[in-house]
Amino acid sequence: MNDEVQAAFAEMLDISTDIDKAILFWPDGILSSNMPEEVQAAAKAQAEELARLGEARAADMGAQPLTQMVVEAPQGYVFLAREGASDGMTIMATGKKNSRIGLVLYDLRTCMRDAREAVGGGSHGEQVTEEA
Amino acid sequence: MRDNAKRGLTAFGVLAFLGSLAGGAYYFLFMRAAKPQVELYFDDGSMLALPGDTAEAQPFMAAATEVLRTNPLPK
Repeated sequence: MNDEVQAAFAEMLDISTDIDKAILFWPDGILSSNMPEEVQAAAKAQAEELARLGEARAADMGAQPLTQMVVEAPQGYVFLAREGASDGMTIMATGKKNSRIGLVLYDLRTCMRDAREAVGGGSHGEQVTEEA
Repeated sequence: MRDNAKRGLTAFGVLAFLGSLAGGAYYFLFMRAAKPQVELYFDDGSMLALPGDTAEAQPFMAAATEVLRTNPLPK
């Protein structure tokens, strides 16, 4: 099952030439990443912070939960996509300037959907606590 | 009568052309520079775009900058 998650992640990196680094995780741990191992925990925390900021904004507006985010920083893009449930999967990626935003978001969501199918239904499935 | 209509059409054409030029110039000079730099998409299909230089966007920009500092993009 974890192999299938890794395969979905690898396929996303293969297809999406605009994505440089990415990390797929859920609250219990990191499911897959091509970031150096020593920065993965920090990246997860940073993605959680971005998601928290987005959620706060959604609450202020009375909107539904945040599902996707794009931030264009001076150095490049940061993309984030997440499942609706608060204990669901989240994926964050970096991309260079002039990335095709729509395609990147589509690839992130496809990867997350494939990973979800691999680990099973429900927002939290039944496994994977091991850090990649 | 026909001359008046012709003149009116010409004036309309000139004004429409000048208006298009002015609109294009305004977009090129101002709107492009002010394009949103933070985009949030919500489950109900709504979207919020924040210009990167606003106070509301700053926490997002700071967090994203930190992500890119930790994971620098290839040159």
